Order: sequence, then C-alpha cells, then structure tokens
Amino acid sequence: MVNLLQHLLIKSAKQYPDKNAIVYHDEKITYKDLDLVTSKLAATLLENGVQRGDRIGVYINKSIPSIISILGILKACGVYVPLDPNAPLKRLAYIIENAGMKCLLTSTRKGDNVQQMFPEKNPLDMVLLTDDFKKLEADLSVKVIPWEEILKRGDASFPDNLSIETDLAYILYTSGSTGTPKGVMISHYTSLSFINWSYHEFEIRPEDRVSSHAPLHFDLSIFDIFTSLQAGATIFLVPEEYSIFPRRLIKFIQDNKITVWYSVPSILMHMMVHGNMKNNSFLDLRLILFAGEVFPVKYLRELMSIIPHAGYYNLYGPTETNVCTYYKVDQLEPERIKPVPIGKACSNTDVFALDGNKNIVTEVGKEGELYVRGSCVAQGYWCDLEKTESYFIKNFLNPEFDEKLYRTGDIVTLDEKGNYNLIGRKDHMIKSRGYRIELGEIEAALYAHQGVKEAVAVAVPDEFITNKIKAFVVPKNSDSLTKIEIEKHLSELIPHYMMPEMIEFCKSLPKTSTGKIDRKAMTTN
Amino acid sequence: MDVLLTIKRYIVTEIMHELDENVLDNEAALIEGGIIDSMSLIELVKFIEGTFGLGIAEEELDIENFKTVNALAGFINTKRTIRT
Repeated sequence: MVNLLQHLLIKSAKQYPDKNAIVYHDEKITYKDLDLVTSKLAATLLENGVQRGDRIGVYINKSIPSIISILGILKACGVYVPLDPNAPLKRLAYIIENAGMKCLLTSTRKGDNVQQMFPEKNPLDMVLLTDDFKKLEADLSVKVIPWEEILKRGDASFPDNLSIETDLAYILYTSGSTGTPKGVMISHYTSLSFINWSYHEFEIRPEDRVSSHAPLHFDLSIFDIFTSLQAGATIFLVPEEYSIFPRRLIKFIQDNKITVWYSVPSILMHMMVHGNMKNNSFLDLRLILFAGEVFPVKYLRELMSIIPHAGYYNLYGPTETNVCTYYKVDQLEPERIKPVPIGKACSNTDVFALDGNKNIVTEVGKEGELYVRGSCVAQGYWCDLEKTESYFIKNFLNPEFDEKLYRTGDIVTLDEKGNYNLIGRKDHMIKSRGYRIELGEIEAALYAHQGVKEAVAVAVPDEFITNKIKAFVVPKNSDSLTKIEIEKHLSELIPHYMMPEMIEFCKSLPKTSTGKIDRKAMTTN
Repeated sequence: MDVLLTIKRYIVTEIMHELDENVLDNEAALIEGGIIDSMSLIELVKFIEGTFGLGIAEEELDIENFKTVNALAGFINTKRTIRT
C-alpha cells in the first residue's frame, strides 16, 4: 500500500531499479541506489535515537544529498524541516528552536553557521554531515556523524511500520505577520492527496524529465520530487546558480531535454526578458506549470507563442493547502489583459467563497473570501494554537462534520464558467517573486531597531515581480539613522526576498481619523 | 575611477547591506556563495552599464564573468580596453 511519501520511492525502485532518479550537474543516482542510501540514512537515524515524529532539519543547498536527506528522514518516520540555505542565521535559529529540532542534516560549510546561530548553547544533539568532510571546524558539542559512516553500512534494515499516513511528513516555515515565521504542518495523507492528483492530472510518466527549480522550503518542490518519484520519472535539479543566468537556464532545459517545468512565473519571465528565449526551441517541453504569483498576461502570451506545443496550467494554493485549484490555459484572447483565473478545485478538494455575511457566493462577479476544505488542508501551524484556530476553523456550514476549513485571506470572484479569479488580499500579506510575505514581519523587524520610532511597510505593484516593498521609517532622532544601517539591520533578521527595495525616512506617518496608520495614503503617494 | 573598488562598494552596500567593505573578499564566490541572486544581478548589470557606460550583452551574463569581485572587475576592464 502506498500511504506514506517514502513508499513512492520504494515502489518505483522495484519497478525501475536502474533508471536515473535524480540528476544534478554530472552526478546521477538510480532508483535502486537512492532507495538503498536513503534506507542506510534512515537506519542510522533510528539507531541514533530518532523517533517517530521527530523534527529533523535539512540545511543544505539543493543537491542529490539534500533529496537523500528528506527521503531518509521520512523513512525513519521523522518530519523533515527544510531550512532556506540563504536565510539570515537569526531566522534559522528561531525555526530550529520553534520546531524543537534535535537533529540537523547539513554540509560542513553550512554546519559551521550553527555556532553563530547559537553562541551560548545550541539545542541540537546530533548533526549529520552530508558531504565528504568528517568534522566541523566549529565545536558544537554535539554528536557529529560523517556521511562516510552512513555509506559504509552493510545493512539497511529497519522496521517499516513505524508511522501512519496522518503523521506529519514535513513542516514548511512561511512568513508570519507578528514578526516570526510560522510552520505549516503537512501530513503524508495531505501531501499524497496533492501528489496523486497531480500525477494523474498531468499524466507524469517514467520517460518524463522533470525540472526541479523551487527550493525545498517552497512547496512547489513537492511536485518536483514526489510526483516524479511516483511516476518513476527523472528529476533534474536546477543548479541554484543557473537561475541567476537566464541563458544557462535555457541551455539547462534544452541540454537535459526537460519535458515538465514547474516554477514561479517570474523565473520564466526572467528567461524571456534577459535570456532571448524566443530564438531558442524547446521541442521536448510538453508541460509548463506555474504557481505562486500572478503571471502577467503579456508575458504568458509571449511564452505560449515561443513554446506553442506545451500545455500550460496555473496552479493556486497557499502552503496550507499545497495546490487547491488549477486552470488549464487553452488560449488567450488577443485583447485580454486580465490575469488568467486560478480555476476550479482539484480532486479531493472543495473550494468556495464566502461573502461578508458568511454566505456562499454564487453570483458571477461578486467578491468573497476563498475557503478550502478536504484532504489537501494542513493540520495547522506548529506550536501555535492561536494562529491555527484563527485560520483553520471548524466547518460552520456543516457543523455535524468534524473537519476544518482553511480561510485563505484571498479575495476572489466567480466567472461565468465557474472559475475563480484572484482579486486581492484581506490582510497585509503580499506576494513578491512568488514568495509570500507578511508586511507585518518586515515592520516587526524594523521596530526591532532601537533607532526606529515608527515604521510601516507597503507593497508597490510591479509588473515583473508582482510587488516591490517600500518601507517608511520615522527615526527617534532625525539625523542619526541611515538607510544602509536599516538595511544591515534588516538583513540579519529577514530573508533577502523580504528586503524593502525602497526605504523612505519621514517625520511622521499619515494617520486615519481613528489614529491608525493610513497605508492607503502611503501606497498612493 | 577604480573599477574593482567601485564594484565592490556597490555589492557590499547595495546587495549585502553591509557597512564595512572588508566583509567581502575579492575572491569570495559571489554566485555559489549566494551573495548575488537573479534580481540583484539585473540591478548590478544596470549599475555597471550606467557607471562605466558599457553595454553588457545577454551572452556575457554568465557565471564566469560574475564569479568573484576580481573576475567581474577583470571582465569590465577588458570591455573598457576593447572600447578605447
């Protein structure tokens, strides 16, 4: 029975043992070898005290060992927690402590950062190094297990009945409005609900060559890895540095004969605008999936003319539901400027919009907030009952059902064909480059600077990256605070994609008649 | 204008958001070290084009030219020599 994520690998390894499972640069690993090495890792973790449900960090740049790590953790019945390799150390330290992590899989270079994260005493008991080095330079006073020890194991046996499908598989940390990230808890059952749907809907086959562009802490990676494993397809990890150079990325797609691509639209636009995509052919590419942000129609139209033979799908879903709606883009009318719809619910999922009176919106064009129910809905936020209860609410429409609805905060309308269209947000969450960002988290970071008296962050719409961020800062002493000082301070607390593109100093912030900060005035001026 | 210092100052202050230029070694890996990402690359290219009056072609947007501060300064200096 396939009811846990690791079963997808185990099953495909039996069917396609000698097929390449993952390719990264010149490195390759077959299904058989991937199954074996992940079992060795799982056996090592279990022997060293890892128990069902333990949160285990993966702090490695995307590479074959990073995928081995998450699969090994799952086989050991652990919960993998991917850490953004480029995030500020203070943010990572918060996640490690919040998740109650005792074990971390990392590379030697990244592992030394742990000492800086926890100058006093680190909460970890064990670090596994996934590269060839045998020890860390920093003395973390923890048990360090080198990769060699895992590889040289003869046996890799461990009990395979240690967990059930409702156990957590991973926790993905996302921006939190009160200044700290929040961990979205996803079970095997929830994740498989999406994986099974995407496997069937997109007819992923063993001969598919699927790109993996999104980082592991971004839920787009779930499709790249697990749907590919289910199909026995080959995953081509996009080297992180290739994303920076659009011509390299184009060459990567061509050289590796990629058949399925999934990314945020801005990376596709990057290739079109800076990589001269139109003078290249992409004959092998049969499917282009995009998610995470609005794809401006003029660029989507251009892409569809460059690669006319591919199928195009807009996938929508907050991390809390993975993907809950989708829309197949068949053709774009020449006069269309409105973004394509987010579409209709995926299977095993139900979505509906509620108006201000909590009535289901059925009228075309009327706005409502989108709610999601079904097996795609996450269990809540790790160790945060208050936030969980405010977003994952009891199904008040059918109180006899013991289930949770997820309140997305996204405002939508219905069109004549029953597709949902995204209109905006109810709160201060924004999207930029596909990342979701709570403006409150940036404001909390600004307020953490002792020279800041008042601060606010607003979104400025941008065609290319959806939104740019502008911060307004009122200093305590008008002459003493500089832009660079604020930027340095912020860069220690928030990831680079949350950094404001513009910082403006002012003597006071405009207020509404009720004394609240007038965000609207600041966005329009 | 010293190309290397100008470039280094831009990367340190505008991309790394640091105050002290010594935080960046001239041989530090800008791309593999995660210092430059796709958005900051485009801003950096605009800065180079504006500051040195050069046009950078799409095929020149490559890892080798942007690998380190030294490599980038060498690339710009070569382009300036060819132009004059």
